Amino acid sequence: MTSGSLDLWAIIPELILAGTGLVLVPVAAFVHGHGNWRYLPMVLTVTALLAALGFTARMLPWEDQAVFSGTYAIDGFGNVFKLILELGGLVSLLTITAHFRERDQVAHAPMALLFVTLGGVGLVSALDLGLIVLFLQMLSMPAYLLVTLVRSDRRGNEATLKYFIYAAAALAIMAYGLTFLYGMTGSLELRTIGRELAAGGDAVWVALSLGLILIGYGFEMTLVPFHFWAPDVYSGATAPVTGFVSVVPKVAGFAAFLRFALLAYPDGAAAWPTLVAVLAVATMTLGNLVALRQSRLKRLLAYSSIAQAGYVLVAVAVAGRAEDALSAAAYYLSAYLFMNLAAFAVVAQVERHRGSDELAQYRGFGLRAPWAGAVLALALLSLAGLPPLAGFAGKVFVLTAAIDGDMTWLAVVAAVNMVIGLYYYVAVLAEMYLRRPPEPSSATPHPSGRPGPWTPSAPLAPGGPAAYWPAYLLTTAGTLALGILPGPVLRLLDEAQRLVS
Amino acid sequence: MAVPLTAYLIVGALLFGIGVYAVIAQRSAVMILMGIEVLLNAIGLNLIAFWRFVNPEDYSAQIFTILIVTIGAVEMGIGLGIMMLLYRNRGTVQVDQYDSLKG
Repeated sequence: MTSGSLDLWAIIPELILAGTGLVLVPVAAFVHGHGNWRYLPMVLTVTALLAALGFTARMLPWEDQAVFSGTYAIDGFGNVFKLILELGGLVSLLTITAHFRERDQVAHAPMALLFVTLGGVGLVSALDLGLIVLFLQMLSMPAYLLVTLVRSDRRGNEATLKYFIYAAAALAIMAYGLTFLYGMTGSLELRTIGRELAAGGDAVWVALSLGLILIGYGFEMTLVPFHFWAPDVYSGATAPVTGFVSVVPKVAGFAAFLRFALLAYPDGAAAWPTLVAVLAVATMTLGNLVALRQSRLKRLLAYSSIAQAGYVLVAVAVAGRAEDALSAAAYYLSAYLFMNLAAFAVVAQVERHRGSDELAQYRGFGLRAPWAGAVLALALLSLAGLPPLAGFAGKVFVLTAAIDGDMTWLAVVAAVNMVIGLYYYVAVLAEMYLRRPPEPSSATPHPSGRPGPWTPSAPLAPGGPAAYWPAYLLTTAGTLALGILPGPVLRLLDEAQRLVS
Repeated sequence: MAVPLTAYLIVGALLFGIGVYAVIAQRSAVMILMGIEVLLNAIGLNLIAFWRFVNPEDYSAQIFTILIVTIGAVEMGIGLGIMMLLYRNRGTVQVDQYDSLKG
């Protein structure tokens, strides 16, 4: 540890993201309404994300260390999750660009997306309570802007209000819990806190602080009972934004909680593994049961993503005990990234053409649009956990980790839940492939050639699905690769076992 | 040192309770925002009290407190911005009027 020095070499990916984000603030305002210049922020952001991915990948073999006076970790765990987050930002940006093409939103979205990604990237490395609070804030605030990207969109407005109130309250309650950690240990640094608590802390206060802190992380991870905001925000935002908000903040929340719990509450202090296991059961069961009764695809996918969070939580619960739990969680979150973003990319296309995400709109969709239908079908089958797709491999690793960590009962509950989950995913597939397309009128293209002033409730001019293809190809390739060739990916993700200590 | 640490913590807990109550019970988004500000003040008070009694040589808790104050200001800024937008679109910031997302 080089104490007190400015270790700027260790945060090159963060510097690239932050620098580009700051440049984009004036640039986005300037290119607003200037024809094809509107795509400049998108191009800059893609370049920045690719550069950050490259630098993060080069940092993977580095030795574990804590830089900036021990407040910021550079280790295998952080780098693996940074790669996942940057990839999530990149894929989401492709869908957002495709969705808002020829609109001014295409100029503003990349800046907010970049700052959310940066907040996540910082959060997985932060070792200091102050930095954690700051990066959590950075993860949420630009996301409000994304959710209300279309200012006249009333559903988006409502979603933003709910997102803001829940996020601000959850963060404040969590920070209140953090103050007790400082009070018990006299330090803001996670590893010192962990050492002091292991040496002996008042059990009641340790448990109280954990309970309060879990509200903040549980909000980001959409754990039951802190999930109330998720279905409303996910169904109120436009579909590509929902994809982004359901992936990047959630992955960051999981990684941050893993680091926090493993370092600050070592050896399962305050029984956090048991608590997390109980939350996992509640999260996947409630997510799956409520998803069964949804009639809108975005809301269905919102509850499905809550259930998916429950599966990841199974690996979190055994993180301190099972050897492969961290790489299993990383694997599942990577798989979740690809399959969830694939599903939301197709939902975005349908939303742009039909102006709705009602399940009825998907009647015969697989026959009408075979390729986009196939992308959605693969994503849903992967979410359901059918071999040989990414979701299957992820579920196998998570269940194996649970059994290794002596939580066989949890693995059994998770397996039962996966069977329940199968039902609603297959129900959508049945709607897509087995029902006849309704009336021919809905298949005729929208009359206006160029899009006028737009409200999301009215369908946009179709203009062909070609714009969505980059996102389709990338996500489908990821879903297939993670399912068919888990070996090489798992070797890469094994780096996530290296946690600075 | 006449006032013990517990007294500060009790005031902090009271502020926290008031803040949580405001967030849960208030119907106006502006009042909810005020509740969140009260929550943040509870955090600041706790931090400063702990700094004074637990670890007065180390100033990191003061930095954390300044951070919390900054977050409060930023949250106010963005929160009121969102509410202005909502008010322009719907003419109200009563949260119970926003109930179109259900199911």
